[in-house]
Amino acid sequence: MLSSFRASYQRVEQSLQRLTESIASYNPSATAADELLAADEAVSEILDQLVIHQSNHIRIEELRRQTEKLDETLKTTLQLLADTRKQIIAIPSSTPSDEPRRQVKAEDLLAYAKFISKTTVPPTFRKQPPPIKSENAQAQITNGIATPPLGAQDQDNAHTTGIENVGTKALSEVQRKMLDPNNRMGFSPWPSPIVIQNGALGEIQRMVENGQDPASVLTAEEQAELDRRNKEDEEREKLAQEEAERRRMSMFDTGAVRRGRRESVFNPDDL
Amino acid sequence: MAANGQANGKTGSHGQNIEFYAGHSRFEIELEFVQSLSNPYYLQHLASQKYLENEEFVAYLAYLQYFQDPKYLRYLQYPGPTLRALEMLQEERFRKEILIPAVVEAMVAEGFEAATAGLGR
Repeated sequence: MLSSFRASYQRVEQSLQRLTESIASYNPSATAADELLAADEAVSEILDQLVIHQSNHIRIEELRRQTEKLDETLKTTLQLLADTRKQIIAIPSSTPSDEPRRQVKAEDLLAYAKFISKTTVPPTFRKQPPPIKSENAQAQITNGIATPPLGAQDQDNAHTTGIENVGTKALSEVQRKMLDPNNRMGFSPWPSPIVIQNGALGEIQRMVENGQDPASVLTAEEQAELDRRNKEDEEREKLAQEEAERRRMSMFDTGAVRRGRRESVFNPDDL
Repeated sequence: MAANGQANGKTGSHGQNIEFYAGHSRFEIELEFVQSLSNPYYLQHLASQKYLENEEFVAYLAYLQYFQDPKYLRYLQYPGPTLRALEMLQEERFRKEILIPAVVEAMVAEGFEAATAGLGR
């Protein structure tokens, strides 16, 4: 920049000097004047360039400052990230896979809860207002004492047919009095007589009453074995029968029988 | 569960198969019986039939205590009342008292209360 300035200035000076020389020698040359003008223009051009140059310079400085600032920001952010990562790693980690296995697996427990859901209430169950219930319970116990003589008789009569009638009557009475029909509890905490009757024990009882011997009922395997043996026996019997038939036939065989029924008609020509 | 007791070598005194009776396995029948014990009226019935005074029966009740083990407990549909009844039946005093109807009713009441206690306990 500076050199171009000097060059242009020199040019102006030169042209000016030439002009003044020419004027001093009473020979003004128009060319010298033109040259001076051109040189002056060149200078002004250079000045414009200078303005642009300076503004560029300022912009460069500004940009430099900006990059520096951004670099700083970047550095601090990275530092922060690194510190945070260190902190996170430093947290004592509780890995769930190392947790000692419980005694009962979760799935088994849930399956069991489903299993007994019909006959139990969850521990979060809340009772209806107690005062009314306890009154009913009191009344119930006195009623219970009054019913035994009848109950005992019925039980004796019902010995051969199980424990249905009295149990059901008394139980449903209790259920009716103690349980509010609108209450959720629609189950009984123990198997009712009907349930017991429909079970294996009831089945055995009925078999005994009908005269069947429950011990004579066979398993599927035993049944299959029995069937097989029966079939074998049948086959053997059939074979034996056939054998006997054949032997019988052969004993009384007159030749005619062997040849079939038709030949049994008396034919005098054969004699 | 193999119901073929003869294959396991388990035979009764008459040579019959003790693992299988009337179309059900022994475990099945014992499971049913132990759970029906949870019904106080059934206990009353047994007491009135003098079963609870039979030594063999009492010994059988003691044997049934194996249902307290989680391995067999998981088959109980009425776990609470069943185990409670089983426990109480081991004591002679209870076996005598269950004949009294008031005791039976008290047990019924207690059973219902215990089953529906929930958070009230």
